[in-house]
Amino acid sequence: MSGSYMAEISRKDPACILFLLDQSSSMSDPFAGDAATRKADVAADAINKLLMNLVLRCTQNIGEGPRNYFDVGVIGYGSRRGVGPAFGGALTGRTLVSINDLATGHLRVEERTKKVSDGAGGLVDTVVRFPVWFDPIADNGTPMREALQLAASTLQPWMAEHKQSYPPIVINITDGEPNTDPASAASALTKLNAADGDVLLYNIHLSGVSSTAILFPGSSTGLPDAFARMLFEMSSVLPPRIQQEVKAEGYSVDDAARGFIFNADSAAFIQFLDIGTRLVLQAGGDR
Amino acid sequence: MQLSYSVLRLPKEGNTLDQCEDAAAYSSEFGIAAVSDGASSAFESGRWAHLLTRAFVDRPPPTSSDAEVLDWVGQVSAEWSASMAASKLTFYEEMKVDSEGSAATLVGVFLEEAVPEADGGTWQCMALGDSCLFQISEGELATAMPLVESAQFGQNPPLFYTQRDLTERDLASLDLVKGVWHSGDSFLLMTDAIAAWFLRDYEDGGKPWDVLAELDADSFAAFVADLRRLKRIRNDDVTIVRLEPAAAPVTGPPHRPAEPRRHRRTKSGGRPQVPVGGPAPSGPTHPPTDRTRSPHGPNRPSPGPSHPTPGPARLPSGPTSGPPRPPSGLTSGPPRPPSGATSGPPRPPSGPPQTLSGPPRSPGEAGSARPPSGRRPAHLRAAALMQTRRTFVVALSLGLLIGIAIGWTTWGSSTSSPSPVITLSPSPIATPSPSSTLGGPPSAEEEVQAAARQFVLAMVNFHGDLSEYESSLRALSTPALAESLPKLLGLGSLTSGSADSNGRVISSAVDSSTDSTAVVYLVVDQEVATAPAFHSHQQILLIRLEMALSGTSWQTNEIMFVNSAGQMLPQPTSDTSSSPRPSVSPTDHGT
Repeated sequence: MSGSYMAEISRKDPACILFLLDQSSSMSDPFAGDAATRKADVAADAINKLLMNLVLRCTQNIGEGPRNYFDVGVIGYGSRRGVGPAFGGALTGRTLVSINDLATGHLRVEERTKKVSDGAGGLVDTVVRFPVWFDPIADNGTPMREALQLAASTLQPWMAEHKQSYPPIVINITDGEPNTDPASAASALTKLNAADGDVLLYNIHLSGVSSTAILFPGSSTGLPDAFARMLFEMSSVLPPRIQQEVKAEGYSVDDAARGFIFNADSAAFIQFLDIGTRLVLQAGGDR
Repeated sequence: MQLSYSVLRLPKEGNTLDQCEDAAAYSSEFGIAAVSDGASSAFESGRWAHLLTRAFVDRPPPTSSDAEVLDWVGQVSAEWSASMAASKLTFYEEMKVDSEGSAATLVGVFLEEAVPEADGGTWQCMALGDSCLFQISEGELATAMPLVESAQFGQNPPLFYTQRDLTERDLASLDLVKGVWHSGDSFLLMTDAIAAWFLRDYEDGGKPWDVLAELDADSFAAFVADLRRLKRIRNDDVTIVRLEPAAAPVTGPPHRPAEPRRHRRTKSGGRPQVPVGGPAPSGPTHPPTDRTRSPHGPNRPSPGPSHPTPGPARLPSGPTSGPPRPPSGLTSGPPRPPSGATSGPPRPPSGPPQTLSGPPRSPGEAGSARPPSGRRPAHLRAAALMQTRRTFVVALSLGLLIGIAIGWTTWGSSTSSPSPVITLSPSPIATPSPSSTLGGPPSAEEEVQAAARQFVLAMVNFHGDLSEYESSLRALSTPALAESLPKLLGLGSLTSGSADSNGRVISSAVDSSTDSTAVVYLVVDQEVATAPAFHSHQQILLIRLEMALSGTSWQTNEIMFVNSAGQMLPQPTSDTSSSPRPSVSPTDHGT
């Protein structure tokens, strides 16, 4: 990682968030200790929710539509379709889309039940609307290298068009060992360089076993196996401002801390996504 | 009060003015102005900022409790929601209204004139977030709030939200501060980008207020464009409201230049002098504010060795000749205690209400009970709130009060050694001086003394126990005490001479004394109601006198407003050569 990672995000210089989502068959397994939740469902929900928050974040005034502060994409890997964009509906086949396109292109709006405070210390069920852009898929292998290569080939022209933008953030979500070696592709991806810094690659490993999650490690010491060490090596060192966010969440991290979480349960996964994208979310706009 | 206003407002580069999410409002009739910065991430925040500033000017918020502030914000929020309901919204706009709503900072100031003849008055400011108030006095930055350093500007300021629970969460960071203004002062209210530049420039030794004063709308736009190009300011909406109050034209002596506010020490053997102003019979009076401190003094980096602890309100450079500088305000580092007092934490706000309108706020509500905002050191907050006790009316009546109190006090004769905790000599007034004009039943006197002693001790030795402080305050405010005090003091009432202030000495107590020196504390209760817009409120002041025997009379060498353990505010100098008002001497009494 090199760069200042201080670029302001604006419509002129939007940011880019690209998800790489493992859709291998093991993603249909439950999280450790939580038999009711399939990893693929949690991942899809988390990303759909983040996309919704991005649209809401950019929706600022009546009548003007959401502001294009971000381009976003979701690349799935492992499904029978191979490696490719995961969006359904009107956005099918598109890798990176603007927030405006996202706002008009959701697949459907679901109604979900959410527990909210009743104002008297209890919880009541409330129906909330939940737009989704893609459905969970879980089959076939784990072609992570091809996914990283597609990310690089997608981001290269984007970065050429957005030279002053905050460097793209790639968030790779996987639950198992890749059947193609991703290391060199990851290295090539994170060498893509913008004025404000290199592409950031964060890796989230979803746990299938009951084991303590390892968050934001600063070294590979203590990581359980070669696969964990490989994901660590692939992950970008956290820029200082994100380090501060991580510290503010109560994690003790050092300057070498990387955007990597190993053996994440569903809560840690969602929190990681939140922290990893928060600064970008906050930075967008005129404040 | 004469007022002049100007507003400078620019959108973020690339936006048009109608996309600007900053709002400003002021009243040309009253000294009220407000600035708000709508959070871009929120929905329709420009509208929310506009409604907040408008409401602040049209119906200033009562602030005696969080619930009142929340209700006030709730009313503004209802206006915002009504305008949303009347609009045709898209799916995501509806979602945003329901899930998040809007958010904005707010800084608002309310000026009032002291008395018609006075050369100034008081101000009260409410602030939440990173929009700032700066007060310029005598060419120097006297007040910066709620932020005092450029490093404090961050990404996540506390905000007023359309959603009550979110506002409630951030209300712990609400700042309510009062201070004093003089003719010629100016108040600048700014949103964050320009405020951050302002403080940074000040920290670098500049006088950014002078730069801004030269600018009109056109030159301001060019100036900001330059700052943006040089990356010295974030590309953001920029708003500045300048408010310059001036007292009604007067015929008396002009505004005096600044001078060390430490009063003079009298020469031994000379005439008794208490350098405080009595009731001003005519002519303008200079409000006795300590101009070397501010409610939230900005920090200008010291050219000397830096202090690891940020001090309470580093001062703009001021006159430095003359007697030693008062302990408070002029140094960085924790406030120094009055001699003999423990250096406990700064006392939380007390007596004086923190209100923009409405009844006095209780001490706990005023701020100490709040968690520190985290954006400003707690001692700065405390210092700021303590500062509020210094209003000009105090000094108008102080001379009279002191004279009476001293005549009423019998000195103890024991020599007390310095102690980390102030202990009051037993029953300092239990045996009133024969020459005093005390009347009233002894039981009432004892009651007064007991309550006053308890209060003095609570104030001087305050260590954060609010309940102790509050119970002391309650004991002092019983009707029996209020009625018996004037009698005990031999007075019908202790009206200060200004039309809008009633003050009374609640008690005095001797801290330490020798045959020729004494340290005395007075507790003074002030009721102040100076403008139609304000309800009357009360202020309790603790005043410390250092006295010395000269011949057969006691002279006051030092008068300090002691506002807490560790906080002493210098008594302003009275300049009898430029003021026709008589100086009041302490009543002689036998030794």
